Order: sequence, then C-alpha cells, then structure tokens
Amino acid sequence: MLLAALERAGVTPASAERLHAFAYLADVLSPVWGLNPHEDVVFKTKEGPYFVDLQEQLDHLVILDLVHVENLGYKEIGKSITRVIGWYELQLASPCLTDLLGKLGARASGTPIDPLDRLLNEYLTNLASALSTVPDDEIALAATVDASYADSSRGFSQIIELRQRSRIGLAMLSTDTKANASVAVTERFEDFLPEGSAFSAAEKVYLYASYLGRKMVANG
Amino acid sequence: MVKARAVRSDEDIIVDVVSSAPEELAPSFADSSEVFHDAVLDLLEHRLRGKWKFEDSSATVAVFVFADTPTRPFGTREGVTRVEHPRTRAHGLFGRIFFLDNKATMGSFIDIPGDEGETLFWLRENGFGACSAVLADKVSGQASLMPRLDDTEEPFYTPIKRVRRKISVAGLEKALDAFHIKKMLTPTRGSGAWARSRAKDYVPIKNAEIHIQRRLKDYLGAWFHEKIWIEQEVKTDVGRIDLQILVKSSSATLGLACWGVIELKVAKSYSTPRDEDRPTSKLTRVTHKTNMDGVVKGYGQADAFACDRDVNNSFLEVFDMRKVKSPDLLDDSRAKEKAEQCVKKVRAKVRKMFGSSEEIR
Repeated sequence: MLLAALERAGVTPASAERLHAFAYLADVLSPVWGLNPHEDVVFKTKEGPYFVDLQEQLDHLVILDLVHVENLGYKEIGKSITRVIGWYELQLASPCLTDLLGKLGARASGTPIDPLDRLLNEYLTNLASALSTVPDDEIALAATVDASYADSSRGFSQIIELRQRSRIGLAMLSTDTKANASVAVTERFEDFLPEGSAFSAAEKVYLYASYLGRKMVANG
Repeated sequence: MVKARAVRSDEDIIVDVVSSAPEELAPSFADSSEVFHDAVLDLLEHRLRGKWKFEDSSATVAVFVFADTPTRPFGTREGVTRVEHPRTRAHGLFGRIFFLDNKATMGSFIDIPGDEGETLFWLRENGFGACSAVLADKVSGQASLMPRLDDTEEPFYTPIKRVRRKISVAGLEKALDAFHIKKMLTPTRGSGAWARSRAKDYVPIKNAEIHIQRRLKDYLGAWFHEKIWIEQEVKTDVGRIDLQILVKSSSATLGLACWGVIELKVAKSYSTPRDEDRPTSKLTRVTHKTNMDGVVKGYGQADAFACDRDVNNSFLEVFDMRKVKSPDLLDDSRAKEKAEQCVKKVRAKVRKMFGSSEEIR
C-alpha cells in the first residue's frame, strides 16, 4: 500500500530511504487521519528511521515478483547493523497485482476486503503527495527532524514507541495514539487560525511536510 | 570571526509554515473525483486565458484521466511522455490523453490513438473504466466531468471558463433543485438508485441513501467549483452528518469553517430484496409509518447537527422513491410538529423520484 500511494503520487521508483521515512511518517502522523499506526516501534538511527519488518516484507514482495527493485546494495548504519538500499516500485506487469491492490482498496476499481482500507489509501496518497517535493537524498533527513524522532529523550540505536500499549489478558489495546509530538505540532497550526475555523486533516499533513522542510533548513 | 547562526524556535517555524502556506491550500481527498475535476478545470481555464497558445489547431479534444499509476498508465514508462506541472509547461493539451494524479500536477500523456470521437470508448476498452475523467472540447468551450468513465449516465457539463457561484441559501437550493431534476427525477437520468431493471417496480438498491449522498456530493462540488468543500459521513458527538459543507473562513486566508449541513432521507414503497435484480424476487412493503419515522428522525438530525456545528443553514432532503407519492411526507402532522420543535430552521424538501419517464407525465 505504501508503494501504491507513492505510485499514485508519481514518486516512483522510490529509494529504500524514502520508503522507510514514508512508513515512519505515515505511522507517526496516522492519528491526524483518525488511524492507528501500523507498527508499534521504530529503530532510531542517525540515517533515518528503519523498519526491519518492513524491509523483510519488501524482500518477500520482490521474491513474489509483486515489487521490482533496482540498484540493490547494502549500507552499514551501526556496528552490527546493515540496511538494504535500492530503488523500489510496484511490478505492474505482475498478473495478480491489480486484483490484489483492488482488494486492498488501492485501485479505483475493485472492492476492498476491509472498507477502512480506502481511508488508509486516501491518507497514504495525501502524505506521499505532500512529501513528494522533498528530494530522495533528503527524505531520510526530513524524517529525523520530525518532532517525535528528534525527541532527545531517545538516543540513536534506541527504539521509539509509536503507540503506548497496555496488555489486558491476551488483548492489546491502543491507549493514547494522539500523545505524540508530531501530532501535537499539527494541532498547533490551528492556534494561528481565527476562532471557529480549522484545518482539514489533509491540510495538516501538507503543512507538516512544509514544517519538516523548514526544520531541515533551520537545522542547517 | 564566525557569525552566530540565529536559532529559530519551533514556534517561529510553525508561524512561518502557516503564514506562508498558499492561499489555495485546500482540503484534498485523494480519491475524490471532484478534487481532480477542479484541478483539471483550473489547468484548462489557465490555458484558455492564454488563448490556447500552445495548441495544435487541428486537435479539438483533450482527455484527462485520474489514474492509479499516472506515470505508468500502461504498466510501463515506455510509450508515454512524463509530465510534471502541465500548467507551467509549453506543450499542448488537445489531441492528447493525460494520466494524472489527483491535483493534475504529475503524470504522463499520450497522443489520442485514432479518432478523437472514439477516445472514451478506447479508454474503457483499455482498463480505465473505473477512473474519473474530464473531456474538454476546444470548439464548444465545454468540459464534461465524469466521476467514472464507464458510467452510463450523462456527465456534468461545464464551460471551461467557469461561472464562480458563491454559496448562499438560495444558491444551494438552486443546486439541489438542479441535482434533483437532472440526476434523480427519472431512471433515464441515470440516478443509479434503483435496482437494475426494477425501477418500474419501484425497487431501490440496497444502499440508495448512501448512493444519492455520494452523487450529491460530487454534483455540488462541480456546481460550486472550489468555492466549497463537502465532507461525507462526518462523525460528531450527536451522530454522523450526511454532508457537511465547508467554506473558507471569512476572517482568514487559511482554514475552513462549516457553512451548513445536509441530511438525506429516502422514502420507499418496498424494502430491497436480497436478490434485488431478480424480477420475480418477493417484495416487502414499507409502511407509511416507517417512512414518516425516517422523516421525523431526519428533522431531528438536521437540527442537532446544525446546533453541534453552530450554523444556521440546515437542509433536509427527502428522496421520495415511493410508487404512490401521497400522502405528502412533509404535510404530515408528526413532521410539522417536529419541524416546529427544531431549534434551528430546517429547510426541508421532498424530491420525487419516478420509476419511469411515462409516470412523470
């Protein structure tokens, strides 16, 4: 779905850095759209967010010929950690991809199995579009200046929790997905509007992308 | 000597972001055809103001498709020309099919293959039937807006040089009247709210209200262009608003404020059978009381939503899909009583829908 959104926003092939940064920002800003983050935690590195699970899923999709990768390589990002680099895009020639994307609500045609997936796709496409102006070589940096990622209480090589969870028996319940610094910034945009008016969720996402751009400049 | 870098606070950056945001920053709904239609009309109008400067005089038709994969519409980048920000580029639009993203800023194009008049057919044959599209005709100066290319209904026609309609109570009432007459009055208008082949029996589709709601949202979006934004099924503490109309906040260049709410109800003679398209499926009658319950509830909802949003513009649209159009749904004592109890004035109207063109006569 991440790649389908990037495709729809016209920013493919996407670098691995863009994919991980996009996945991270999609998770951290998901409460703006009334959604829960997909991942619970992200590994914080100097080079930008990196999801081990996402990379593994991408590898599987490449093997299944649903995703195409070019210029595959590796890059060391820590003493014992290596991240995959490369350029990814959907393998549109794959015979089952269109049907699969339709079932995930990522196509104009087809009925999604879960109706909520339409909302998720709408959100991801808006975010992909908002971030499309950030060049590939800066996208990882943009994610590192994100308000949650830049939180100094979490050092590099540490885990950032994307949602607080509490265990009740076997059930995992999301407790307070709104309590993250990035969402708080999007809410502060409205402090500068007259009373009675508000930003739509899409506007907040676009403004947040602009905020990241300015933060990068401000941080030199 | 090293100059000290002025450290900018987060607050300063947020102020910069909000104050320098483009005025036209508008809510964007990626899968909404109305956003795409507006973006394409903006592009066309811009080129019309430039007197079609870059156009080939022999080409008269341009088609714009809201594509799932705008840079690879046929699964590959070969055979298509990539385009970014077509508004600022010097290439012509006519004689071409553009595959674009929802803001018409990114994608690709091809030359129209074969006869211009066959373009829509060609697109449907090539798997773009489910996509929204705009067809522009340079000679007539008209654009046809199509929520789906494979829809059999008549598209919404608009001059490329658009009329800027400002939202007002009278203006919205006019738009609602037009929607009723042009889109819902008879099945031949392509209302799509009747079960296939069963319009004459007055059998509605299963989710007729949701269907009408979606159609009305697209229609009003096209009618008022970028002057209003419409949200569907908006969650509130008092329930879900069918359609919420947003306008630019009058006191600011940015931000939106709620202008009004529209509550939709459907009155019908029969409930939708499980096998709705089978001509012999057994029909269950819907009582007048059930229809009236819906109308009374509609008044309450339209009032509660207007109060919740603190607006005075509240509309109740009752789509009458009953075989026999009497008794009048708003003339009923329960409806009148409920209307009087409302805190806000709810402007209610019954929109008669007929199962065949003969019956309207």
